Amino acid sequence: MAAAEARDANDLHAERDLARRARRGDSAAFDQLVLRFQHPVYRLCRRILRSPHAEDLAQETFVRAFVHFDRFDPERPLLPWLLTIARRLCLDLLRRDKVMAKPEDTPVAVDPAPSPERHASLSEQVSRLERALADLDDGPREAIMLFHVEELSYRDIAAALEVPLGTVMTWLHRGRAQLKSALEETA
Amino acid sequence: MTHLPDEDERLTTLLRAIAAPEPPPDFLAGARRRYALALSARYRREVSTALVAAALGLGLAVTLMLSVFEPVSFIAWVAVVVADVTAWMTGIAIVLSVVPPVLWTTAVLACVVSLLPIVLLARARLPLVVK
Repeated sequence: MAAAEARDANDLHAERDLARRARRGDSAAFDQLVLRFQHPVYRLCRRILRSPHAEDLAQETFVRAFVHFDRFDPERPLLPWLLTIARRLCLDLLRRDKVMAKPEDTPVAVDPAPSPERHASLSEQVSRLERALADLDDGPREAIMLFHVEELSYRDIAAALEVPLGTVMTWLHRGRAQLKSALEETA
Repeated sequence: MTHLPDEDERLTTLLRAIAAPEPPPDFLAGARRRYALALSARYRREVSTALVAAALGLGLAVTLMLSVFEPVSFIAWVAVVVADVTAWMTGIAIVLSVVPPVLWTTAVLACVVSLLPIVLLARARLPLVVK
């Protein structure tokens, strides 16, 4: 427990150090931070926009973050802050251009060598889960993905989505219940 | 990471099985290029802001000076000051060149000799009176 906390503190310290160097124009530090966080930021943009604009806005997220790094609270981890910027940029684009986020067909990333029956069953479950996710409101869906896929804590999800901690807990509770009932219908 | 019950773990596994799109291979290069552009734009903005501020400050100072002083009388005052300073400098140069160096040396030594006892007296400590 203590070792994990010490590791988290070291990570935080390293992130802050990299971010400060990136702000001063150190391109190696900027590259390291982009490589570390590009996946969650890009995935968030894709989930919100579901369009090729996602790449553009994910890149813009990193640029805005390090140009305005003086606004960053150094006591907090970097990822929730990046996700907040990405989410705001995406919502601004949706509002400005009236871009409607359309569901897109995504392939299922399943174990490459399962039995055909198991593969079919897993694909079916994942498809149902995707449909159930699409039926969720934006907040609960994003909270579910940030918790289960990106492994963010409740507190960091609250910071990223700019809602109180209690709202995150409610969203997660309701979202999970909906998803589980959707999965049980298949069983 | 919070410990998840079995059912939540199953949900996590399935959610991760939904293939998430990956950033394209040139994502980093694109971000780096945009960041370099943003940094150079910020630098240009800072330089132009400083130049505008300096020009405004200079303009304000000139306006204030012109409102306090009449331009003609101000120029005349500056000319008089320059003439006075020049006259003083010339006078000092003439005195220095006319008086021989031996006299200057003697005068300086006399000053030092007369000041030395005063300095030594001032630095000397008075003996403590012991009962």
